Amino acid sequence: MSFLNSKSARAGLLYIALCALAFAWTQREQLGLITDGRDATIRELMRDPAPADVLFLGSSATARGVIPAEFEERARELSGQPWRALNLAPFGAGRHIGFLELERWLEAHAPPRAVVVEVGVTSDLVGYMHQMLPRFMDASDCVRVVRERPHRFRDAREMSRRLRSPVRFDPWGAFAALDRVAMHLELALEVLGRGPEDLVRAAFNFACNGGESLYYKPDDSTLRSTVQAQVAERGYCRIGPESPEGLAGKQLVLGRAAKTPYEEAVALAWNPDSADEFADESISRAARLYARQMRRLAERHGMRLCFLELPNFRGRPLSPAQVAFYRELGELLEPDKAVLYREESFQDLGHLSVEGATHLSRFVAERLTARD
Amino acid sequence: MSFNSTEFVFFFLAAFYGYWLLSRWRAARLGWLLAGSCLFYMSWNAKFIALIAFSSVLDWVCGARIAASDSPRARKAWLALSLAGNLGLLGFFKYFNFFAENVAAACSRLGLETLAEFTPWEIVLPAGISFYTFQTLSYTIDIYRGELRPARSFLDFALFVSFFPQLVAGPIVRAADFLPQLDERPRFDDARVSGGVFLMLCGLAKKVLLADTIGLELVDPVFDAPLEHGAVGVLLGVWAALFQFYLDFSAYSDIAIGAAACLGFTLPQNFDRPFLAQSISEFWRRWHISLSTWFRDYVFVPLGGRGGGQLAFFRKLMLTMFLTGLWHGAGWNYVLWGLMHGVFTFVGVAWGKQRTKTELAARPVWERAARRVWVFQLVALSMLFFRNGTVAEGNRGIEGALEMLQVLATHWSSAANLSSLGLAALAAAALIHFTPREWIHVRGAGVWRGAPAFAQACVLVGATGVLAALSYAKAPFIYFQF
Repeated sequence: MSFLNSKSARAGLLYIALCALAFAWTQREQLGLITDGRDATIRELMRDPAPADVLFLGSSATARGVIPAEFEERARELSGQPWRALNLAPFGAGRHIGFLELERWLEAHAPPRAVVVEVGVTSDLVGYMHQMLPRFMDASDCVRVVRERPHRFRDAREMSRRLRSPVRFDPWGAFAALDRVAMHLELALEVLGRGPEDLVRAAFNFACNGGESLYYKPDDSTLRSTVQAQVAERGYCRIGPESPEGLAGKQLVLGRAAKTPYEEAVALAWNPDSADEFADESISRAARLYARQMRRLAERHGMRLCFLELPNFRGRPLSPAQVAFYRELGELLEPDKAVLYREESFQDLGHLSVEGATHLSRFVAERLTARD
Repeated sequence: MSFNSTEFVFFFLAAFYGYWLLSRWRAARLGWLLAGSCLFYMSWNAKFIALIAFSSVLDWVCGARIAASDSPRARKAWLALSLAGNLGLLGFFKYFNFFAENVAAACSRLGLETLAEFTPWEIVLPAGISFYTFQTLSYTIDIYRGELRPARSFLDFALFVSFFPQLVAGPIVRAADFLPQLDERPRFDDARVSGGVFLMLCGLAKKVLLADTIGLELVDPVFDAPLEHGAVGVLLGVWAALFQFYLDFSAYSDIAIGAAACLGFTLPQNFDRPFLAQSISEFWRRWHISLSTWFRDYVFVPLGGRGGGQLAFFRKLMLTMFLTGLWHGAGWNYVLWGLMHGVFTFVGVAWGKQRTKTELAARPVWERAARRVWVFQLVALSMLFFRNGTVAEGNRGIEGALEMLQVLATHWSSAANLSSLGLAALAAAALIHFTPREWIHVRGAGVWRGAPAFAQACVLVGATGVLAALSYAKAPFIYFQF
């Protein structure tokens, strides 16, 4: 029997095709087949060939905490020249995505004057995420990562496995090179398995949560249509204070405000024993790694690198270790807590309201123009 | 790249299609498999491929020199070089710290304080070293005995050593069984490939659905904190550990045998429903068969086998089982486990009436059942010592086993506090184990073979999804650490 005419060979090819289809279906947002509104907006911004003066990178705290139009207006007032600022922070992403975005931006655009990178809970504590692919910009990123630097996108478990047996005897870097080849191959092989895995996870979630929490189900507030309508109306997108998410978030803000009085929060000094977001470790390995990578890019391209603190509502201040680390790599911008810790400045515990975001955007403009 | 990962699934597909597309060109197809095997191994730790290369070259040269030499002295010298090279590597990577720690402890007791201080070296155990070392050893020993001709080419020999389905955790293949398969031009047999895929699916289900669940839900909690589970919990936990080991290891063997079958190779069976054994010696004819026959053929028989009276038999048996225990790990708990099996076997053989399979089958049902239960309990008792040494973190060795024995003796009134999911998985495992083999492996495989290609592909997609979703933690196969 000819191998290619056999049922097993056909079943194998069908299996690969079905895995590819499952991958395309479950990752359809990430592949650009349908999109989360925020990611779609970022993609459009990245595709625009016009240069930018300032790029904002981070997580949803930055996405909702910085209003480029406010920044531009204030910077123009102060410097007398036009500024173009882009907020490229997607929702739910760690610093690695910011690094990837910056690399891609620099490939197709002139370097900006400044890059402002978020410092905060998500950016500092979220390490290598299990779900890496969902945050890639498009399918070419998958190929790109497989080709160039898969080791940066493996999860923490994988990293620790690699680090357990450091190569001591490595003539001409041969073993490290071999290790890299094997790792590239592994990641490439893993990609197609993501489709079936996500289908099964979706089914489990559906069964367990009665359809309430489908895997990768786009949230109404982040649907492309919602985001586009908000951008058209206000120039920026955000969860509205009147929406269910907005109202729930505000309740949390009020709850914490009752527990932590304003004066106490503003005066709060770093205390390593208090239990809070930074209790265990102030900066994850991944966050350090990508901050340093950004520093290298900034040096190579002559960009100003700033780290912007985005605090949680009346949360813990930056630790001395964080402050020292970021000051070593660039400028650390610490906004005035006396303004940000007011109840009206936050929409929920981790995200600023329009008032808070306006204040923060203008603050950054003042700091950047002051030394530009 | 473990068998229970999606990387392996797609790696295997690439190996499978490449191999059959190149099947008409011998060097190309074998080279393809060798390259794939190297990549497979390198995914654990690239630098240790150098060890396999060293071992392969050493035994290839030694084998050729032994075969070419007429002088018994020269032949012996080449064999000694092969043994020293292979066992030296194994000894250093697996036993150096164990040996040095024990020497240091002995010196401490003797008051030699300067020799008593020893800080363990940071030695990483290369995956599969115990398995491929035994394979290469059997090659040179068989040539020395005149039972095998050297491999036709280094490519053949290197592939024999590193063939990816069995490289990391067996079955331990003999050159006499494997090398002739390389000479024949493979003929694609659709039914055989379907059977291989089915076996792989069975293996994955055993590992991901049963072994990992039993391990996570029953075995780990009980062995971590036996006092919290009382005697009933410990008893069930030990039974569960025995099933977990069986399922985990036999799953690996199933996947290895299935993967090899898809590539047109036959690997030896490694498990044959071991809990049906009616004696400890029968248990070893059903459990890790490739290892037990290796020790039988290369240790026990050369020592004289059954001949020489009861005492001599006891001595040879205990030495063989001591080495079997030590092969599993550098720890006294493994040694004790091996010796316990030696004693159980000796008692059974020396004082029990030896019965043939037919005689045993003719015994009343209750007697067969009682024998099986008894053998299972003996093996479970030894598992107390074995399992307490295999937990990388919190390894409590013999001390842990003794604590569990104490709980078994004194805590019968405590509640078991065991997970119902774990108990359900244990019950399912027991049910499957005692299900007649042909129901699953013959009828099940028949249904699978008869299914249309599209249905097979859909099942495989579903299985991949379950595999990936459930094995996110990717619990490694237990026998990787041996």
